[in-house]
Amino acid sequence: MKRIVQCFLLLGLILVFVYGFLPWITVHIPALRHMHQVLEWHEIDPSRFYYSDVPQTLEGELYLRGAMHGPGSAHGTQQREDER
Amino acid sequence: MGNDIVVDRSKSQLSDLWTKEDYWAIWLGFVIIAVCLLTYLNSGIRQDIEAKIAAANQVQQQEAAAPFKTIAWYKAADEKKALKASGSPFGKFISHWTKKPGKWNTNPLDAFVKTEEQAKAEVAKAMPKYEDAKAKAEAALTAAKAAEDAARAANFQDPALNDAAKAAIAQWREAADAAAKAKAKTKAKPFNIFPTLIGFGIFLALFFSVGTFFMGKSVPAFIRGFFLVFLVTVLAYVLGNQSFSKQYGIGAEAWGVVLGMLIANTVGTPQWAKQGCEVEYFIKTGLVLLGAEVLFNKIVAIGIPGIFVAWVVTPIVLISTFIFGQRVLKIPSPTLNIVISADMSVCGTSAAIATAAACRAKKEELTLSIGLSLVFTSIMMIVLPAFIKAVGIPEILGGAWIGGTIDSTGAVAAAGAFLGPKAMYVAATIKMIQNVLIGVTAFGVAVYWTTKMEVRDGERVGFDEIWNRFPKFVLGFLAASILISSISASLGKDLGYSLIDQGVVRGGTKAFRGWAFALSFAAIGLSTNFRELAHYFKGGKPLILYVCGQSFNLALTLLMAYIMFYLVFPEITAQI
Repeated sequence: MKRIVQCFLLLGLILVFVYGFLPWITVHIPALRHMHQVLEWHEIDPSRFYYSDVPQTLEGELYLRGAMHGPGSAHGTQQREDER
Repeated sequence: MGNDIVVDRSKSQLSDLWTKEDYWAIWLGFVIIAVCLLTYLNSGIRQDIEAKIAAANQVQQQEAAAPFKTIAWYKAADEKKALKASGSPFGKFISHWTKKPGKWNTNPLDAFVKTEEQAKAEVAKAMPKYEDAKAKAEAALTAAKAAEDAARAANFQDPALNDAAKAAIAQWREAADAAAKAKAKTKAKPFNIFPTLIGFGIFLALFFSVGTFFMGKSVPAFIRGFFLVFLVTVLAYVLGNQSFSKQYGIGAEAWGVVLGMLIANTVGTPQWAKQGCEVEYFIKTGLVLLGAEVLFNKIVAIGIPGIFVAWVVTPIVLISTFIFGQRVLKIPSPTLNIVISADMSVCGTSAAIATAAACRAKKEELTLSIGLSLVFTSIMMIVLPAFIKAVGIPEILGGAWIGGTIDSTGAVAAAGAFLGPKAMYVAATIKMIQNVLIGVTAFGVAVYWTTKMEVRDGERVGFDEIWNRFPKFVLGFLAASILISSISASLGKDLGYSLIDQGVVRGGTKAFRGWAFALSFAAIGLSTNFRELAHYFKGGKPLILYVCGQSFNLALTLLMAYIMFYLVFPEITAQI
């Protein structure tokens, strides 16, 4: 019985920290509130650890591919010159 | 990573192929990879995708004559981006049956069920923002068209008109991006994942049971224990998907360890459940599947500067930190030292898992390493962008610095987003290139451990002995990476993107890998004694190692990023 109480007590403490304290500081500290809004808007999940779990890596890859290889880029201009 | 990891010194035999865990991790991983490959590469959707890519490429070729990216060029790029094999019936089937508990704010039940009314309310709430963003995007498109027409009328010979068109198109892209994000929020649909969760739990139990049976273990005992592990995993997903928990990087994996340890160290993990806590089996299978996501063609995504920041700095920091831990700090456990070094220098949790399995670290060492990474990632994710802004470091340099130093990819994207879109793109891409390094790291660590660390003084080991000791699943991990990378490269970048990146990986192996890792973390927690974990932290040496290694990483990455992006290749920076 004591162990079960211990288990729930510890779980309660952890839950209060994560779901009570963290939201509280997020709402009350402007920088953290801003961070929350940015993450919500971009739908970024900071807890994901590998690139395939994070859609922003794909956005970045496609953006950079376009910026570095499409028309107007140094690579694109060179390609156009070669074609001429 | 059981409690007593020892070097397997038995001779390799043919029967190892069906009796050893390493091989079963390979077989199970490759069954999933093969099914995904065969289905996506042979599906009817392929012809359709190929035709659409050809049409879009034709448009882009025609538009290549312009000195800037025209509206038609961007629209063709958007069409290619939308071509995803995961949208095929098979992709939808996989996504439906492997669904995890979703995001929630105040009611944990929202992670499992969304009613028709809730979905409608979400759509109604998101609609005004979307309508507004859509109107702005349409207005921006009209302005961009007018500017482009003017530049075209001058045969693209007027630099002022070209610049005006380029600026107007950039504004339209920004507005279109905002509209697309707002639109995504209007697509809320009702769901109930309870039936699929139960079905998937049963599937996973049977799937892993095949190997359990051939390894000579009790299948009923495994299945009984597996369901507790699965239940803890599901709870971990629920807790980790709460929006504030996620914001600070406390995801399902961390919750799995916390919940598991809570049970194990208070009420105690029931005896009947212990046979389901097959930590190594789940991790190795997950790693073989992760191999399919290690695509080598990704490393050229940001050109040579990115390769220098991610692939030159990282090994230097990894090796230096390991040597520092061995010679200066004299960390008693070399496996703990290398796991922390890899976790901190390469890419956080995924590198820690791969390295720990490659050098056969104890599960407490992996837990400690990931715990350290989690704490520092949460801090750095907030502090680093604030510092960059405060001292006025340019966006691209800041993004490269963030990408090369913060451990987890999600936190990198978050920190980059605080600086701006370009910083986010650069940061996330650098991190992605670094992610690919885990294959090389795991292989290098496995070779170093079998040939150097596990060799007694004066002992010479031949090829046979190295082969006997080598963790075979690492070969499966590398084989998966080489196979999928080669197929992706042979398909070309557009078809490779649609069928491999957005099919085999994101529409197949990723979901199973995610579950395998989440299960392994719950199993780690359920079999971890808190006192043993505390023992590894004695003297605070792991913390000192992490702090010193990360400080070196921060200094070297910033220096390398500055040299590469601003001194050696400024033209690449200008294009971004």
